[in-house]
Amino acid sequence: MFNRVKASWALNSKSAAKIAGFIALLALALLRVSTVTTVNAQSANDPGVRGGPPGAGNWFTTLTKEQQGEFQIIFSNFVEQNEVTTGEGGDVLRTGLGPRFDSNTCNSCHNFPAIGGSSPPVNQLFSVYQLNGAKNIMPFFETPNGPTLVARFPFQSDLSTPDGHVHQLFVITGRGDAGSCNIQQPDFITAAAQNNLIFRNTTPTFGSGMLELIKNSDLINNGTTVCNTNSLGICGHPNLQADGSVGRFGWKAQDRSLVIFSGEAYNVEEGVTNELFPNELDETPGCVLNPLPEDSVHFDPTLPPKMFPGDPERFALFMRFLAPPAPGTCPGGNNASCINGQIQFNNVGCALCHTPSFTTPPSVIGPLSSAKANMFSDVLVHHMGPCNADNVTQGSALGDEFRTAPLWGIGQRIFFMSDGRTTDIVQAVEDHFCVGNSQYPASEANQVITNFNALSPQNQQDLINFLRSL
Amino acid sequence: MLRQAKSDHNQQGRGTREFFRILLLSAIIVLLPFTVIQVGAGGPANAVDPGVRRGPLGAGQPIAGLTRQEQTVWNNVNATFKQVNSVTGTGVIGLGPRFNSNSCVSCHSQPAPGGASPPSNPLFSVYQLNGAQNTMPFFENQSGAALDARFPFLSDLQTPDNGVHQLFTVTGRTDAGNCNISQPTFQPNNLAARNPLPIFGDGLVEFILDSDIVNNAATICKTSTLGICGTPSHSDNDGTINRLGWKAQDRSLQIAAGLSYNVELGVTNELFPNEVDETPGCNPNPLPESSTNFTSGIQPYLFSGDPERFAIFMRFLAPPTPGACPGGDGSSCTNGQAQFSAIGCAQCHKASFRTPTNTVKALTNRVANLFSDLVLHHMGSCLADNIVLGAAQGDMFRTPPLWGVGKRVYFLHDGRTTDIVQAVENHSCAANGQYQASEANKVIDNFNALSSKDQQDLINFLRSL
Repeated sequence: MFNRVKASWALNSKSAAKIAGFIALLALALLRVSTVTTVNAQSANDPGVRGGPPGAGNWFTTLTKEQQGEFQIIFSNFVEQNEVTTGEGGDVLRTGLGPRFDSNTCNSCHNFPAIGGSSPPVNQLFSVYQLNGAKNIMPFFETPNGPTLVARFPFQSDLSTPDGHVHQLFVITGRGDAGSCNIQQPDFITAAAQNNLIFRNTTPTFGSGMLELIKNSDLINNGTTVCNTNSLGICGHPNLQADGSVGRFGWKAQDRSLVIFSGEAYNVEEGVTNELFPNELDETPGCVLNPLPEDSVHFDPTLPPKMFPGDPERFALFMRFLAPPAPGTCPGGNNASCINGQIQFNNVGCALCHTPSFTTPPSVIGPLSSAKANMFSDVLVHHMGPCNADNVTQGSALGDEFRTAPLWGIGQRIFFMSDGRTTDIVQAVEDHFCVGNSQYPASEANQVITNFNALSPQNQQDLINFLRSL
Repeated sequence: MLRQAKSDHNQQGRGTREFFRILLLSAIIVLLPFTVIQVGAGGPANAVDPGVRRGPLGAGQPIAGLTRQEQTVWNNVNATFKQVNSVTGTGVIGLGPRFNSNSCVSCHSQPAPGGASPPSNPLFSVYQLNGAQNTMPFFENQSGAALDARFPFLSDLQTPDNGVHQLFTVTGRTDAGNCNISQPTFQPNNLAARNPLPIFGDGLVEFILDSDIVNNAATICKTSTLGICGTPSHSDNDGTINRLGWKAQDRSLQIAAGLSYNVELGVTNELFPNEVDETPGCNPNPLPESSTNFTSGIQPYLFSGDPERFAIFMRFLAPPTPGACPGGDGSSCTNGQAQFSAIGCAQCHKASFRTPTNTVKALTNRVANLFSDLVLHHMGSCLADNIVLGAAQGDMFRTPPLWGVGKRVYFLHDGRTTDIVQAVENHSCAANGQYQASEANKVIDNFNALSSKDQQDLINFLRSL
């Protein structure tokens, strides 16, 4: 409720900026017409974040009573706050934050339009970074009404050896519960000056329990068919994991499952060591303040079974049981617009990568079993051109490759693209276009965007309305 | 008990073999002056492997100092490690459709559950179980290591593959419905065999500080006059140091457990939830086959899927206890360890690390005498398997920990030898067009230049571990 109020406030305050942005876009589009002869101007307008109730944040209603019971308990794990050393208390306070961290709870970044989602309109990191006496300065790229971004350095300080890892924004230095730990934040200004800084915007987790189970063969066969049959130059590939299966989570499809993703994010984003990733990311003396792993199995037999495993298993259950986003009404209230929009979406070729749906195989969890997942993604990685490239290689995803971002729930997304660079979904569509250079090939989406720009203004708007209905 | 009896029996068999080996050695020593002009740098070793150490198992027990609650859970999760999976049915299910074996313990059993390959290849009692129509791949031998197979390349012999190709399929098993898939075609020119690693003490290895591993490797790199310079294997996930597996490709016991459950047994789980082969008719069970148990009133340790229980079992397995010096002369092993350090073995096979403070008190601040630096080294084309995993190139391997090596039957990643002297010698390899020389070359030269007595002492020391 609180979040929704904030959301509508932020969006109202943005209308003026949006009009200005639109004019700028028109100018840009005109420029493109002058240089690319086959492309018409894009003339659609983003209706903005869809109003109405959040179409996400609830568990599957068909879970068993026991599973629903678990969901309610583990919900509190997802919103729990981690402190460095003093936090062990009940279900909502935990120890283990830092020594380096991006935030102190899952919920601060996975928050919109409901818990489990993506970046909220008001950047929650501003209420975290100096909490409890921490002396952090806010990195220049975080803004109060911008996306919550994490930072990666493509290269090490020699600017040639690959790095690619997350460099946490904050340190616990100065916090009342951090002893004498004295480490510095990364030097983001220098990294930026060296063109060695990239950002990642939070991805939502609704429906990820279905995504986790989709058959490898369905994903691979779909990709192969598209590769062999389309005339637009689209050909993705899977980011294969250690067991030979298709990676499916994260901007580069680098993560295999919700459990592994949870354990990783718990250590990388919050600095909480756990049984999957048991070592601290910074072991400077005086900064490793807790026994390892900070989160672990509870051996006390008097605890209920759900308290036996460490937090990552519970985070994973929470996400696995989160229902996929429910589409809402068509912006403007004219349903025919969205119906035509989806037809145009297919016609221009968007659906070649943004595959409308896959069906899950039989699962031990009822609602995840043989269920249609309308996620609008092929879960493969594609070349997106130098304009989108972040020079980070993860698994078999190269510096210019990204997983086709699922579009379900996009009607209630605020920030778009891997780095959250725009709040304008029309701009996000246009940003799929990029010519190649000596380092990276052209974006696989170029022909599709050219097709989009060649649509009539009505068809363009309908397509955009369709996206915002999701 | 049965297993111990079998293994004792086998050790008697080894004793007989040992007798012939000594006989052979004596013959060599007598003939040596007539055939070899000089034994020295680059010459053959004069030591003989005393064989698998007899006496107490020295492994398989939980680490000392567990709380009563931890001990109780370990006693129970023990059974999970030994459980046998069937394809379908009322017991523990999920085997296949492709698999290497049907339980963890079948390959991890020497000298106790959690260990390495037993003397007699356990896969021979698994491959045709329950009507399965598998043929045994050519590289598996009845009295050889239980090997699994990776293919360096796809069938074009060019595009990297690197993945495990399971030896067997469920086809023909009575619990496998009408699943009908074929075993892979194993080709000697595109095959990398892997011998099981023992798990004893990995609960300590898992927690060793990254900075200790990295700093040690950096120091050796700077100071070694032998050309030794290892590479830590950074995790793609969180950037910390991967340290488990032949190529240091795995970060933690829990992830390794989930991975192996799917890759080795074919049991899908919450960490790796999809089947390795999805041929219609071959996926009879809902996914994942091992998962959270929501039944109310169960024992808490039964809530999580199996990988969590495997991980607890392994994490609490005590490190191997060294035994008596083979031959009974303790000073031989004392000198052996001095030689081991003096010639440079210990530059990679670092004697010990200390663990940091742990949530589990029994794992806290312990000296782990693992004889490994836990980083990757170039081992030359003779050992190279062309498998690239994470930071490990085709010629790179993690320094295998040597604790418990006195009780190991098969050596090197592909289990190519049962002779620990041969295993030492196999560390030496000249450069070729593809791969640089082994980082161990100078050390093996040093070994070969030792007196016969020092060589034997060094070998005795290894077999005492």
